[in-house]
Amino acid sequence: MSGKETKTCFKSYAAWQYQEEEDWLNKMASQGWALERTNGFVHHFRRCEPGAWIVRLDRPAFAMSSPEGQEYLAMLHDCGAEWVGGVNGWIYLRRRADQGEFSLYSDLAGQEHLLLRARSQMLLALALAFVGWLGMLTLALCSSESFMAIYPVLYLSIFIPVAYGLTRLNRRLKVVRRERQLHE
Amino acid sequence: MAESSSALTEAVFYILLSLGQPLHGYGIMQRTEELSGGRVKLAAGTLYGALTTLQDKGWIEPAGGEGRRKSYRITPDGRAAARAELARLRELTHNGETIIGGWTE
Repeated sequence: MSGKETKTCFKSYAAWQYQEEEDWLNKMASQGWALERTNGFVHHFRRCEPGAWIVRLDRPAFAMSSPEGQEYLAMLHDCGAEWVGGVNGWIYLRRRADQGEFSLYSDLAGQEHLLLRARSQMLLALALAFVGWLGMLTLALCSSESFMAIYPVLYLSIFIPVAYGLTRLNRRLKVVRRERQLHE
Repeated sequence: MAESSSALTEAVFYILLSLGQPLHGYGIMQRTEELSGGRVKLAAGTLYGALTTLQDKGWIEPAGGEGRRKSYRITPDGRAAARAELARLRELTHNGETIIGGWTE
């Protein structure tokens, strides 16, 4: 094999984009770059046979350092999956494609719960952003400098992508819930 | 006792069927696949969530384990729930065969 054996990419996705992030990581694998290590922003890849690995993202309801997390990791390990990193409660897993299809949720209820956990994370982020905005608004109102008024207005732009992300997650939740009325 | 007569999910039913003998997570996945002739493949996230819920309901209980791997077995309440589900499935099958079997087109 010629050329570079490793590659590092800097890329970050929001919580509501976990499916897009997973798609990108699998596209990298299909192009011969297996995710080897990540912290959610710095992704380290190593050359592999194109399509040799399948990558999945998960957000368990527990910390991976807890006994529950350790038991879950042992179960994943038994299935042939490898933990390659984690950030903000999200974990990155990979498994060799020759072991067959690799999914983490074989039922709609599991998919719904994952979406709900992603949404909870976003709602928390939204609440924190709101507190920050209130603080900035208070500062602007107490300040004698008129230009300070621009900051709370600029800060409002943070809410636009979060609101967009929440809308997308809610739309996907609706689809899964509708499907659950027919199937498991 | 099984406090509800609503349907169990396929995953839960197969987990209960698998735990007549103590098994850890991966063992349950293998047993389920074997029992269903390869049709039902429990994914790790689905299985772990179901095991937690079943333990909370008292339908399964820990049965030891090695290291981080915990084994589980079915409890009397779990057997009652599986029996209730079997009765429901029999009713479904009976009604399905009677009605669908009579369809001419």
